[in-house]
Amino acid sequence: MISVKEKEEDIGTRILTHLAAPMEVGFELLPYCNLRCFHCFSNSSPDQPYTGLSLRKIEALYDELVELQVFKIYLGGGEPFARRDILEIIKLAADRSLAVTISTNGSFLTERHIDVLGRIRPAVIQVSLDGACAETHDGMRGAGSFNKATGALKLLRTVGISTAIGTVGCQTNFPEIPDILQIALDLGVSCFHLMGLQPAGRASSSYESQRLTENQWLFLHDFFNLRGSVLREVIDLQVEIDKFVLFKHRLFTPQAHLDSFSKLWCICPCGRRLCTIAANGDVLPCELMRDVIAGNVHSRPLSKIWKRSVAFESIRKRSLGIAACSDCRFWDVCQGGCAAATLNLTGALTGADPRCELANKEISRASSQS
Amino acid sequence: MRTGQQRNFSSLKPELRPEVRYRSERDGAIVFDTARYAIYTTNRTGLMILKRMNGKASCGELMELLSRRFNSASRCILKRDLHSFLEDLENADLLDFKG
Repeated sequence: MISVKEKEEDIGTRILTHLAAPMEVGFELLPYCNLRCFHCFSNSSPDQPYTGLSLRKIEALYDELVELQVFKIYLGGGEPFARRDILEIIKLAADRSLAVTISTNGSFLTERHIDVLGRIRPAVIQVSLDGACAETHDGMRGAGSFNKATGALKLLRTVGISTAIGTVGCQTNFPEIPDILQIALDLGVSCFHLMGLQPAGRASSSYESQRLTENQWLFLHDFFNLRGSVLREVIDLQVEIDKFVLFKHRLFTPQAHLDSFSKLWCICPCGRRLCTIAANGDVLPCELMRDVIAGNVHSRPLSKIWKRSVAFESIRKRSLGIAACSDCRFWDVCQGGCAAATLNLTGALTGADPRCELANKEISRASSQS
Repeated sequence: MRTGQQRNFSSLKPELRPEVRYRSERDGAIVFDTARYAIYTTNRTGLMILKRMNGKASCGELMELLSRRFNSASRCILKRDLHSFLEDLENADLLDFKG
């Protein structure tokens, strides 16, 4: 954080709920995926259609993003490399100096892709790897997918593209997470990105049985903390430890006196700093929140949707009325937690993230007093 | 300040590197390093300085700007804060010094 100490600038109680334009925009290029993973945040599968925004529409959207000074885009799906025009889609973004991150399972990456990607040089290509061996990974994703994922990572390295391994931590693969990190190191991957299972898409049905426990998160916290300083020079560790576990065990110290702008960078980014454009043009607060549609880019410019959508407005202001969090010491960096998880687990946007034990205790205390 | 250690701070002219872009927001600015894909934020005072970091305005001129903006603040503190801000940017490889 770069900051010059504010003097004589009293921002008082003004609350900044969102940026003037998104910082990052995600594109779901198509719903189709050749795999049918149980932990998929959307419902991608081989049964889903191949259809998505046309190349021409994507190009027009890129131009709008440049005008809005959006810096980064995220290309996902479904499986983005299942689209035949994926290289044009990436190149058009790179031509406009948009930093492109692509998420793939690696199945469709060929020598031809690699050759062209080596010239386009996207910011990073993240390949999903959910097991340290074929048995585990293929069990979660489908036969043959482990070899395809690791093969893709090796190919990408040959042309010097910055790569990441994306792992969804769950009960099935928890014991192998340290070994997946070792694979990342052995393959010379630039970034290891570990995230928890989310209550969204197909993952919703197995969320309760597959999510990591508090003790497992504590183990991972210690494991990556110990290695973080040693590995910092060789790999970027983006480990998203469950923040409610960190709060509960006081493993997180909130910075005092954060200004309104800084707070915005600590809390749920959906509809505040980023949004997602689905394959049919619907604009979503994020990829985990599929039932909240802010508008459609076929009928309205993204800039107007960002500024005027009632759906975005409700997401941005949801934190203002959460009584259970009002006295929480982590309020500034949490503000009620993840909007998508709250909606998907409770059916409503109002209220605190139900995964937070501190908020749940406060709700119990308040109800016992009344 | 690496570049400026042997030189007069006031005469140095900071300039954002060509690969660095920034965007104004209501309460400050978002700075994006397109070479490293790193994002930084700064407050409104930082934005005011960023707008003048074009290799033409010297640190002395930036100091004058801050003095006018915060006319009751001590020049000593303003200079320390400006120095610290530029040092942060330099350490993040976001700027060069001319002059």
